[in-house]
Amino acid sequence: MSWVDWLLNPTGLTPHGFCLSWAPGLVALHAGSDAVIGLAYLSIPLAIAAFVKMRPDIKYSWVAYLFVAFILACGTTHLMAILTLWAPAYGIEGLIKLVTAGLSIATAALLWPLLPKIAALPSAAELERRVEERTAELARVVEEQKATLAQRDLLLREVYHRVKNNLQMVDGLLVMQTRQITDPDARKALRGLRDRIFALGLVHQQLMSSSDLKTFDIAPFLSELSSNIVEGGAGDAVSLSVEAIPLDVGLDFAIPLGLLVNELVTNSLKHAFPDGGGEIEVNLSRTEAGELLLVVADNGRGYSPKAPRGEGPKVALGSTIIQGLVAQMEGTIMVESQQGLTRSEIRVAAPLASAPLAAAPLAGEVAA
Amino acid sequence: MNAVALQKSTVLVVDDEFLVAEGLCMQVEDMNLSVCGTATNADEALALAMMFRPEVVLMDMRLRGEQDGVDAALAIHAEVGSKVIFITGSREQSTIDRIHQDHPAGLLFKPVSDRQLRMAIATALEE
Repeated sequence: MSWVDWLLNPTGLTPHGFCLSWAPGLVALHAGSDAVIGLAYLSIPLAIAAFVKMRPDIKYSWVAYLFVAFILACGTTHLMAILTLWAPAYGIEGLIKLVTAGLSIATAALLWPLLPKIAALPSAAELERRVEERTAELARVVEEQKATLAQRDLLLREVYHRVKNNLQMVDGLLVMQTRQITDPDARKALRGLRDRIFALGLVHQQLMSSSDLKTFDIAPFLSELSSNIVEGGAGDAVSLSVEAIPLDVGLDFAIPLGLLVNELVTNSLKHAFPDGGGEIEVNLSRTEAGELLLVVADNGRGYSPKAPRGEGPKVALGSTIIQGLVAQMEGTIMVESQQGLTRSEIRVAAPLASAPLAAAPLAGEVAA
Repeated sequence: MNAVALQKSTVLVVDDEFLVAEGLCMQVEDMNLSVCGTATNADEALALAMMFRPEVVLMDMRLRGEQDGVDAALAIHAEVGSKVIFITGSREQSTIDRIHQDHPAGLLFKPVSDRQLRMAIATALEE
């Protein structure tokens, strides 16, 4: 008798039902129970496999597959038990049990060393607690940063406040000095200094009322600055129009630009209208190339560029300031003057602070 | 500005910085108004106001001592009824809100230009 015969040839063996004396109740009890167990053992591993597939994040999923294999094998042994009630296929049944035994013992053996590792996996409650802890920590950091920012704002406001107060003190000094001086030219010069200091102060006022304490819209600033010069110097006799695009600027841009407007408007006011009335126009716009264009114009008497109006042999302070600030802003200035129209055009690069705002419309313009 | 109407009006200047107060006094005098005195704190301001009954008070917000410009202004307003023009170095909302607890005749931010001061005083005197 060969190996294969010994295992697979049922000749001479009796079916299991014979041991039950073919008692219908017992046969039905065994067959029925094994059928239900077998079917259940086919269904359970399918569900486990599906679950593991749905949750690829689960650790040690190979254990689940081991369970799948050994339960499937168990199920098959029960189905084989039904077969052997009538057919004595004990060899095949034994082989299937052998496979089941291998899978079971492997699962059992591997499960023990795995136990501490699985036990160490954080539970849902533990994870929840850690998330809460981390969230609280983050909230604390955010609060701290808010407080730091508030502190920064407070300090900045305090600094601006002091800057403004100091400028007011400088103005007080100039007022006091003016009292001591009778020479009209000297008094005028001090007056000019006070106007320049006011322009500086006005920048700080804008900064202080801006929400980020860094940038502010230049349009209302130019308007306030220009009307202060014109109304302070000429009352209602000279009419002023100020037009400016909305533009967020910082200190570094606003101060030279404000001082330039101060000088140019003051020049117009001082020299253009010997008979009193006239018009002054201040305009800030953006050119197609994206530069900023500042125009200060008046409809006064004009002057010859060779002999700048009102200037002696020395270069006037105003001209020096204008040239210097234009150079500082890396811009260019063009002045034309004739009877009835004096016009200064200053072109400068747009400040960086306005770049994000300007980028979109600018790109459109270039494309067009 | 109506120079005739302003001629004899008196102004009280309240600021704890000498240079600022002195500068403001001279500017006021240059407008043909008379300065009745300067004060550096709220009590002094009220005392001077009650003594001279000025038409206008130029009031700093930060003063020496516990009380600020609004405290002084409320007291002067109640006792004397002078018009108070606030002159503050702070342009932030909390300060402005605090100032509006009083009924300011004007609100100026440092540094103040001649024109702003002139117009604020003229407006206060016209009211």
